[in-house]
Amino acid sequence: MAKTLYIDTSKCMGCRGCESACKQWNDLPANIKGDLKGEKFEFLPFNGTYQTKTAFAHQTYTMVKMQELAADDGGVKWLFGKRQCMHCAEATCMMVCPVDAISRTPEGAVYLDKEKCVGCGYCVQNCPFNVPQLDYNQKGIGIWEKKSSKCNLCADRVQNGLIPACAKTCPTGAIKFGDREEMLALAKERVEQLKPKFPGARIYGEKEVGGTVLYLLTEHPGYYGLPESAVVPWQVRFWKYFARPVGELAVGGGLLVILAGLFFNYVMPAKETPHHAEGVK
Amino acid sequence: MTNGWTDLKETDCALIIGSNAAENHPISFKWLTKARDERGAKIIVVDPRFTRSASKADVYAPMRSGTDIAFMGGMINYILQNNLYWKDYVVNYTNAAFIVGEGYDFKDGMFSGYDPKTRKYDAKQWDFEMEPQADPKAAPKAKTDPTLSHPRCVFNLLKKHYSRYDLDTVSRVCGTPKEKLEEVYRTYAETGKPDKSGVIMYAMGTTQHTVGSQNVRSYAMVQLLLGNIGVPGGGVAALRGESNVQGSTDYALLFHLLPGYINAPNANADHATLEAYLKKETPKGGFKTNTPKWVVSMLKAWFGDAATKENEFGYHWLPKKDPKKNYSWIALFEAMYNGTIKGLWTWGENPPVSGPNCTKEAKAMENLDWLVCVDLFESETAAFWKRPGADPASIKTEVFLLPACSSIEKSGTVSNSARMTQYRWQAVQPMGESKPDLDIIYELFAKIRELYKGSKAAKDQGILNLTWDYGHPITPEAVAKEINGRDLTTGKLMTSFANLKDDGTTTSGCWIYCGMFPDENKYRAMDRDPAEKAKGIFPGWAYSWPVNRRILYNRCSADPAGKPWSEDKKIVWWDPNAPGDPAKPEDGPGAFVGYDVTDFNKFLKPEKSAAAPFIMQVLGKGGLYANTGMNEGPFPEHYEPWESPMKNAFSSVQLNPVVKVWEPDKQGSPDQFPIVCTTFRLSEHYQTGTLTRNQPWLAELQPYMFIELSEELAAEKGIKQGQKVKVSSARGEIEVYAMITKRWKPMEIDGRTVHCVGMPWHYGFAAIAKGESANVLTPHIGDGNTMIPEYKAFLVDIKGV
Repeated sequence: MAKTLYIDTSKCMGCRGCESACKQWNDLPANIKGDLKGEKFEFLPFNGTYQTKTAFAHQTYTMVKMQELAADDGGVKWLFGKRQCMHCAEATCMMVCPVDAISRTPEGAVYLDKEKCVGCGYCVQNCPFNVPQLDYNQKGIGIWEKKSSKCNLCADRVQNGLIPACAKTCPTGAIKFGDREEMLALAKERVEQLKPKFPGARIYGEKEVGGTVLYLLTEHPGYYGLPESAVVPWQVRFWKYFARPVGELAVGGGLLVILAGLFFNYVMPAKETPHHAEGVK
Repeated sequence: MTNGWTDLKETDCALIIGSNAAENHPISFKWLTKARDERGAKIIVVDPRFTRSASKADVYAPMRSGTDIAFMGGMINYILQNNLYWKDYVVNYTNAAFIVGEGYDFKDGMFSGYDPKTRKYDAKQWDFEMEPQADPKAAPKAKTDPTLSHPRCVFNLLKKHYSRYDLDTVSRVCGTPKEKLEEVYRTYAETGKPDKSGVIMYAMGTTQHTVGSQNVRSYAMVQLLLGNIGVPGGGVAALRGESNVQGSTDYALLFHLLPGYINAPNANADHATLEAYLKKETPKGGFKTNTPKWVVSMLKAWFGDAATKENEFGYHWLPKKDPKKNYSWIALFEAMYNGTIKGLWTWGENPPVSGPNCTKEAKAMENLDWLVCVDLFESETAAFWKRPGADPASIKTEVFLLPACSSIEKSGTVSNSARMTQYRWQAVQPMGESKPDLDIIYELFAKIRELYKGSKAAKDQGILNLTWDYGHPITPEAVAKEINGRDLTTGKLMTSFANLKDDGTTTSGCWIYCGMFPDENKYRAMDRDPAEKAKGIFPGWAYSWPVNRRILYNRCSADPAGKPWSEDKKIVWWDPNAPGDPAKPEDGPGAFVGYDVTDFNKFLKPEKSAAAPFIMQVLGKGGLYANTGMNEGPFPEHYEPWESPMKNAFSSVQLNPVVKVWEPDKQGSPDQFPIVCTTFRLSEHYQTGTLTRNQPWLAELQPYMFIELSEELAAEKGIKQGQKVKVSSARGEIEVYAMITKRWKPMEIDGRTVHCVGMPWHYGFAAIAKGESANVLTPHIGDGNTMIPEYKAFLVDIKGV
């Protein structure tokens, strides 16, 4: 049965334990430029907020988006939304990957196999949530190895009967992991419970991109950096179900990457710019 | 905590004040979230800034740092004026009905009995009127008026004292809008009903003030008025600042105490002999009448066979302190600064970051001959001699850095805020030559004793006679057994402190933990039964002192007849059919039963136990009025912080009259430094950051030192988001990043706009995430009782760089 994460932002207090637990389990380095043992190294620059991680990176599979908002009563709201790969049911990244490095696990996660990845970057270009990122590894002078990376929903843990590291570490139960139906039922119940206090309470991810990781949001999705509507572009479907099979017959698997490049660079529409919370009303 | 972490799920309302629990005690929100979801509990946050806790609150009220007593005094007044207190509880279980003697008086901010020369009160003036007792050994009893009509009964004095704390004055002082005050008061006072309970959660935001202890008192008083002590979901919850602070105070890592909260002996006539000491320190009433059993058992644990009746069980081997001297943090660093202290061991301490006026404290360390630093990394303390601005060549201090194990590299217990001692098993082998703290102290003392071998000097006999027979290698279990104690007649481990004796036949290193190791193979700190008995009580999970009790003062959960006040809040109750005391068959059946270990002799008839539900109090009742124990008076009274933007609105007394002013020339004035500043912690860092600022995953979470300020202040000063700013106080200046946020707002204080700002205090010059230390700015002044420094309210100015 498909399993999913369910993130209840009304319970998240922004402690960021999930960010560190993720790095620890996945053995991801801190985002620090330079050599920590030497004198010269630097962190990401100061940005005036507690949210020091502002974008996914090959070292950063998850982060808590934070947003301060003026409240109607003259006070302030401080929103926290834990973000990671959405593990879409109709996963664009999976559809566009020319080498099938991205697949679905029996538990429902969208799994990116770094061994198979050729670093073409189409998943990076086409993700409606800006999740996968390329990691540039210098192999020699002028030689770079590129690999895409993203959250695999701790597939290794899940396949061994554990829950993802982020869910395991969450102190308030804001991050839960379980059967999708069960999680959806929890979310639905929660929306009703929260409506009186949070009129904007809603579920996100029930239908978006065929269904994604489930969110309980108390405000507009834009405040959490989520696009209001996320769908698979028709071009991607066209590629997946027509152009690619035909192309494979015509040019053979080896040249498919080039064909995909031509396709995604010329046929795909410009991607929807993700909402910046400032612009959302 | 009078209750515990898991008990938070039973609350109907949590008032978080002086704490940022979501941020610094995230696990508390596991239980508060449950309380909210399952019971519809409300969460109130009172804080100068909108914190991560505030983001999850139902009610948030801003309050100027350093005005807790005004805020809580206003609540006491609101509760009394609107008759929202729980009368049955107040009359039966608090000292509201006690009649105060005529010596008590209060005028213009001062209680009777003050001596301006010594800056001390004579607390005798505040005594109760006592019932005459024929038997001099009988427990003392105060005169009472259960109708609460006597003009000098505690209740009426309380009412009078806080009638001055009206909404307008409180709002003017605290900067909290009146309607917010009322909303907080109304919401919290809802818990003053038999079927409701509320908890007040506090931390360093409460204690680190010149009136820190009285701040806590004010919370306890509100809890007594609302009947929130001794019931599930109630209590005063002191959220301790790190995993084992509770343990460190329990075991008396404090200059004025012996283990188990017994006053340390002084070098004066009162304490000249063991007999004199015990006479002085043993009250006539309450459970502390057992003090001689605890002290003698402790001396037997420490000095073994060498402790005999003839030598007063080695009492003279205990160090005695000069009662006129203070040995707390600030005093120690003043003494180092003046060159009287020549050597220093720091054990997980980091004064150049955490000390108040830390520039001075680092400078003070230059006067040391030697410094030993036990830590996991080279902290700012270990590196103080090469700190920015120091001249290593001119510093003669010899510095030793001993590598210590981290918590996962060793086994042992920590005692958390819930008084729960929990064993943690070693997970990995120690790195390099690092050692557990226990091994370091074990080897250290063995070496010290070797150096004293053969000495006949009287002062050395304590060192030579100390029991140090833990076996090699030393284990936490060996020490725990000594703490637990033994019956020397049978050789068996003690099962409860009730069996300790004052004749030298029992031992116990710390009486409150007696019973945690009742059998050679049973160390209850290792217990891990996850089953909930009821009402948030998990009795099989580790061990809470005393005697595994989870809710202190739980007699108060039932009425004087022993019937629970409400079904929802019941934890212990009288069962007339339960088997009675086997030692007193003549009393017949009947005992208290329930979910928790009772806080009193469960076989006592309910009326008897109801007479003294607060067993540690001499007079047995909850103290709305403190005739002893508080240096600045029986009721908390608002005084301004040492550095304040306004004149005290409640009296002409500006500063807590009993605090010691160490550096009168280092006081900033509001003309020069108009902004109120406080310091705080972040989830992302721990204490002085030695552990977290050296750990890349955590360092990257908050890599920079910053100051939080409002959009309004930024606009006034022309400061842009993320730029560098200089923050200055009368002690110094630091350069940090500006974090401009909606979470701070200017406050209306005393009829004008006052800006408030705050900074994390985790940063220093060492580690991979560096920053200037907030404590460069904080003052060398402390609380009137505990001397904890006033880190939380001081004046600064800020300008762009």
